[in-house]
Amino acid sequence: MERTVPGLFARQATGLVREGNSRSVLIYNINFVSIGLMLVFALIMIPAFYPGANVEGTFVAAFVVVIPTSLIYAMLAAAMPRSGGDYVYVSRILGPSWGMMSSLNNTIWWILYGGVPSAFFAYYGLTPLLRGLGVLTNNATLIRYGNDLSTPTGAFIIGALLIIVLVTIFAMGLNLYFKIQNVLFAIAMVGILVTIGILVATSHTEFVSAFNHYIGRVTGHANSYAAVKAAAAKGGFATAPFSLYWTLIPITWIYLELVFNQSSAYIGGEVKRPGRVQLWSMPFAAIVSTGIAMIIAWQMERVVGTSFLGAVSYNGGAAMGFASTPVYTELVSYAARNVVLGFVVTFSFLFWSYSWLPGQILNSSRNLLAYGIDGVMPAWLGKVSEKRHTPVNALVVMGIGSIAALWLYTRPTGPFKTLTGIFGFILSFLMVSLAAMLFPYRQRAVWEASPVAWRWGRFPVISVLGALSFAACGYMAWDYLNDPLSGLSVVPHHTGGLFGHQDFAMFILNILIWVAGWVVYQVAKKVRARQGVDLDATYRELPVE
Amino acid sequence: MGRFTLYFATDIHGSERCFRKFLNAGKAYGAHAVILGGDVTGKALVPVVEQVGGSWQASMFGKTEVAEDTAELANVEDHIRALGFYPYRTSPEEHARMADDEAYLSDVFNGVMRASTERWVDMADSRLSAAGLPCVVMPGNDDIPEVKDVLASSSWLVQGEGHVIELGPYQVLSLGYSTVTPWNSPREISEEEMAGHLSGLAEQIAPGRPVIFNVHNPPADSGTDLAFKLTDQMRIETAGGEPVKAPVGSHAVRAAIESVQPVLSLHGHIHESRAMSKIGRTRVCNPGSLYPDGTLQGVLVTLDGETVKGFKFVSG
Repeated sequence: MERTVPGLFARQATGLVREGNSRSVLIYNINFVSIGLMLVFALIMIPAFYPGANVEGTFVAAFVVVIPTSLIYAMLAAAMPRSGGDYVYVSRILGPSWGMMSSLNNTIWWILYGGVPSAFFAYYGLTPLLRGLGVLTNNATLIRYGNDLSTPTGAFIIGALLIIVLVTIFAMGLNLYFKIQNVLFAIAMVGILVTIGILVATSHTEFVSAFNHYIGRVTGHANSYAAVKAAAAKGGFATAPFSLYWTLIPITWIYLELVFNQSSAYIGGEVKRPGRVQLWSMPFAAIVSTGIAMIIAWQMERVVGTSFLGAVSYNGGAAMGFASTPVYTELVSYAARNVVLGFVVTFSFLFWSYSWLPGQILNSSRNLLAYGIDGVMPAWLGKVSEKRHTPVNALVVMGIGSIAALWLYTRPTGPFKTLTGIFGFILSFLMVSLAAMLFPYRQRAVWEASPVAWRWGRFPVISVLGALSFAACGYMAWDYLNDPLSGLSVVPHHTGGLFGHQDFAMFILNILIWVAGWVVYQVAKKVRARQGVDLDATYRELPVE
Repeated sequence: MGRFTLYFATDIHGSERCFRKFLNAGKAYGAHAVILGGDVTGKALVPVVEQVGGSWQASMFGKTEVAEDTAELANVEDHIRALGFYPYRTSPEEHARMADDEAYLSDVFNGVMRASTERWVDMADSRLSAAGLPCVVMPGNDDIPEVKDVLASSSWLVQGEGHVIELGPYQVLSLGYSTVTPWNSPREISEEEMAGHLSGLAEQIAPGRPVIFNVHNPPADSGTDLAFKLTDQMRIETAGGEPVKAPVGSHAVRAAIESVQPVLSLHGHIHESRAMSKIGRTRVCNPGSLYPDGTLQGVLVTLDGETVKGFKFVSG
């Protein structure tokens, strides 16, 4: 008999396992957050386009807003492990048509956003690598190649190749990819450490001197640092005193990454323990990611200068002779004054640049597979390769959709902006938050049997956190609709186009995609009814008396 | 022949909640018959120890539940049963003996499992006969051998293992053993023995009547046999935060399906491998199990002669 679980006697029976490795779950969640991308957007966007914003303040505010949502996902996963994520939580707690609404919304946006990190791989990964090395070695060809990859055509080709490669690897099997990913993650974290080391060892004066030395060889200006600031000022860039409003609005750029710290599923044993380490790995990923990003952001502001960060982004890199804004890794590589260190910083960032993409492929293909198996979408979506045990058809759908989205995303005047679909994800987070609030009341027995049947006074903890998460998500929905750079607007402007303004069209698209799942479910219900299958039976409560 | 709707669930591992749901599932889903795959008994025994003063105390996962009166005691025991465990009222002296004497503990545990299964059989006899719902049951690899005799003692349930029985217009071939696992469970056999059992059962199949397999162990490389890979320390292996899965099904079962080509093949055993696939013309299915949640996962299959007209995974 086993005595490993305190208080009870377990006999020799299949499935008695020890808890999984929480470090692995933490790595997965940090991967999805992408500390590197969080820094790219915080340092490119906030100093340049949100006058009076305090970058560290924005990070702290983003963390506060994200934590309730992170906690409810962790608790739902602990209460219903192995059950399939938020598609199942919402279906079981609120009803199957609502579950489909929430899930299909996420799935469509994951597919569309597959086009985004694949472009980032070009914009923020390969371009800085080639351009940075070109600047450090005074090689105009490398600089030109780097610039070319940031063009719409260059980014589309690179991004499409990346999607095809990853979808192919996933179709061959997940295990190989994730073993490689652990190595890539280690390389990326080494890059983070080297970045911090370079920044800590560099003064502002030393950075300005290095910048002028390297960029001077490209532009011919002896004082390129001043030239960049002057060009931006001429274009309208100006700093401003501290503004709480403009500190809070750009939470959008950090929330974009940080909210996905809840991406892992909780995989526990059958003889359930409270599993506190696993339960806290999701919020802990948020803490680790935010902490590291804040340290680097603080050092970047000290070494490079906050107003310079704003100016170089506002100017779009033009004053440096670049086709796009240089990202922080390029600036750090100049501060390194060493080609090898510069290479380490920019090369290691390649992994951060596309790190959302594998999780998006995994999540969307799993959902498509589930829809096929559950009968809400054609059965061929649920086909699994007999040899590789991978959802090949779902992966192909994901790949094609993402490449189409990549094309749209890389159009300079296109409607699909980086932040456009996060509002859509928030609509699903709102539904999950509501499910968390109602969980102890609508699934009482499951909640009471779970490791998270905690109370604060008379209130279930998960319900309280669900309410906080609902409020936080509500705030973020408002934030995305009011961020001038989100690509969304609830106000149609009468300046041409179908709705008068493409930002309003994208807002309508978000709503339509959100509602699509409910419509799909109703259609599927009618179709399957003719086959003698009752879709509403999927999560029908069975009486126990 | 007409359409025939079958409800199949499996691996409830002593969860009283799941068993009660199973008894109501046939009517709730409109099935003509129900099958409960193997692994019906629980994996753990929770001592509920009498304290000085007349209260009772049970400890699980570091939490202690105290019952001051019989009503509270019943609640505690219901909670334990809902998790698939067995509550056992005991004295402090006996509790100490159970901790020290493996043979005594084993006798107690087996006795509790037998008694609980007998209670379930009585419940099923009463409910399912009143509903007129045919039900096939069998032990799985995790059930002690005595469970088969208890199931066979039922007046309504049909214990299927080792037989080919008629269920509506179909013949059902049932086998609850598994091949060897890392846990040395009570009813494990080799691949050769599995092949021998299956071929012996196949000889009992009568011609002209479609066949359904009710075989606890899923077939190899079928998508219904993907289990979490374990490390040497019996932890779930992960890569990049994702659990690693590997096929662990039986080649003998696969060969039997390929040979007999039943219209439907129902399996369990691997709780995390909820899937439907095909081997030749046979629809192969494992509905998985979420018994620790008290959720009864199952599958509704609508058959028409030699064809599966529709199927639906359900979670109650």
